[in-house]
Amino acid sequence: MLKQTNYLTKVYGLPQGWKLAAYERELRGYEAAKKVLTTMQPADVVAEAKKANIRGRGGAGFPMGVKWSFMKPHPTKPAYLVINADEGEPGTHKDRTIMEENPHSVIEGCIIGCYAIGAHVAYVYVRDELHLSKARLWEAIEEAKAKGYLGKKPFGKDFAVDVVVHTGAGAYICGEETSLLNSLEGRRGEPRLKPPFPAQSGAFACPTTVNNLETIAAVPTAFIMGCEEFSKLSSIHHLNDGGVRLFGVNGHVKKPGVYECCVGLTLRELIFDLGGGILGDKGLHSVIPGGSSTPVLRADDLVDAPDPKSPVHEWHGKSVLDVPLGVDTFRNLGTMLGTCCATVMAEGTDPVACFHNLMQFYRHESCGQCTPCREGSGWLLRIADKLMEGTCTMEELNDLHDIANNIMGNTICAFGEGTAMPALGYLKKYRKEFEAYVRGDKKGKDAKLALEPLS
Amino acid sequence: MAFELSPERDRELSEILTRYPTKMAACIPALHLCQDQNGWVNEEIIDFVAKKLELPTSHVKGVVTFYTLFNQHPVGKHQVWVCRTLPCALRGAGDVIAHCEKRLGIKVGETTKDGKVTLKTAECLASCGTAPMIQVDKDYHENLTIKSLDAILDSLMKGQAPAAKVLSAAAPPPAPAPVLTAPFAAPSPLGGSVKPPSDTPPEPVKSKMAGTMMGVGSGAALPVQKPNTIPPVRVPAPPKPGSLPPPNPPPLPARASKPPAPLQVEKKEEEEEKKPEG
Repeated sequence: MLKQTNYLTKVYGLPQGWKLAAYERELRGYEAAKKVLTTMQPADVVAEAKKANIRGRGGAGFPMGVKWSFMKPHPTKPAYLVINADEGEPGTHKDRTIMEENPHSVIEGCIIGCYAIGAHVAYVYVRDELHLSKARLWEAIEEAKAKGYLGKKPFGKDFAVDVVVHTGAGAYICGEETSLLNSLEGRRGEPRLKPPFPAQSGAFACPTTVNNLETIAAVPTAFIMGCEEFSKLSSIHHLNDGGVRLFGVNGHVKKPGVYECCVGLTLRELIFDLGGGILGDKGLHSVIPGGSSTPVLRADDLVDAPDPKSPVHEWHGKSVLDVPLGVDTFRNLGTMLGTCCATVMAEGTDPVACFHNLMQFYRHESCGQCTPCREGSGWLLRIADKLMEGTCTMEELNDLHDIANNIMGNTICAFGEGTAMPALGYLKKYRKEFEAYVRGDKKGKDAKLALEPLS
Repeated sequence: MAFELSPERDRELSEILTRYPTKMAACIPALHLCQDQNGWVNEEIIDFVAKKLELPTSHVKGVVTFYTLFNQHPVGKHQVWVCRTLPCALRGAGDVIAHCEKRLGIKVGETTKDGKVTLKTAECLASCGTAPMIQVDKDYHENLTIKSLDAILDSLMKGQAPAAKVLSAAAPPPAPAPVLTAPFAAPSPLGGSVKPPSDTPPEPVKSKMAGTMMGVGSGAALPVQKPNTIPPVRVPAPPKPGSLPPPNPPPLPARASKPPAPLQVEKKEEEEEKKPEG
């Protein structure tokens, strides 16, 4: 259901909208943090946060409140809050808008988050390319410190909170939480084995919570409104998927961008109502629902959920475009919600060229720690290259399945799945097109991704 | 000669060191500082950082070789990164790369003979909604057309940094822009509000990030074949917290369609993140 909101985005585009003055004037900035720090106990904050049903916005969709509740005070070690703003998933462009246009929501969220989990420092890990985002965050931190919202005694409460912006150096893998922690500690960004989970041993071997930037930015809104009411804004509140979130749409649409809506929006609404429809009024070919690691959906895909217990049974037999964008609903469609930023492809787009483009990405970004992923991503790309060159054989096409299946589940982190799932998704849904390349009916040099030449 | 940081950067490094419980954590920020000064990371810099942070040289070398943004060879005065990943490719990144190569007379990965420009491709730079885009040094240039790309390349070939749209727009207070939130529902004391769906196509929440490119007018009407147009259902203003003034929602009809029956969802066990986050 399409319900546009502006809890986060009201200050977007305003003159000096990223300043404290605008945040306080338009969005009642820092009232939630003040209320939480001066009137609530940390345990109550966690209990209240659970009611908001904020599912992690970074891709995995883990409930934020539950994650906070894993944090147990340690007798000797401090706790840390780490915010993941290493936005690098192809097709994802939401966190950058928050950092650039509403950085104070992040700072306020950090204050509440730190208080809830007993941390005194929050590290915001921003990818290095986003220089404007980093500048805006630092500016927000300075403004908040000057007002006494951050520092030794925020709002007069004897609970020191500091926020620090840390930068990476251009590695997609550092968006994986344990890899991010290694990078924060000054090491190579290679993922760690789990367990121990970050809540037991995270940053600097201390208990740590890692939240996505959009997740933490949603916290002030939830607390100022009342977490239960916030959750109920969602039309799939009953699936424990609550609140409002940012929906991105890009690719072949008329109005790409970021839109804030209540959870429960469908892909059809995102593409045609918010995105303005397909460029040149062409038909829809396919859509990648939430970043390149989520398997592609064809425009003609139907929901297959005959089991009444399935969360998507209600839409059985209907188009996947009419299913609300939710963590559990999309998991049951054989894809994932991911970061909720859809990449749209118009009719005439070549799925094999899309596959080739994405395999280049995964080959480049594999960190090289686990053999199946390091070698497998290279093999996948090599066969994709041969497909485009027209030298691929049917055996090699079949090998793609084997290679992808042997990456799945055999790596330390989920990058392996992130590579194999979209590869298998394309192979499953566009086998005919792949075979056309093997037979030589189609040639790589004719494959186009853009609809028309850049003018 | 051994590498030394300039006094300002050295002070900055001392300040950075206070932010973390370990010296090692300053490794990446320290390398960034050194690279800012020198243009690329050479062996002297690796030794300098290792000594400064009391780390083995091999550790620092390992970090430098892991991350893409540390240049291990000298680069041009300006670096141009063209995003080539799928969302940009769908909007013409291939043409952007070809045009840059043609204008600069170099291939991707090369530096112009006069040492002014290095051309590289980048993987997704989180600017998919404003594709195609390039990054020149620290600035993003989005919603590119051949004309705007030419302007950037022209100033680069003269050895000047092109006007940075985003950063320069951020610096001075911009002229009052049309308030994007104007069409939203009556402002609620909560700050934000839920906007009732209307027949007019909604605008993206950010003017600068909204795509108006490739000759597509931003005011394009909805396509004729727009399927399943939702009926104009109005939704009540969001509820307010107890401590706030009583809500004053206009009397509105409830949503037309039947709400889905609540489903029992199995509580998932301690399921950890399954996926690298975006």
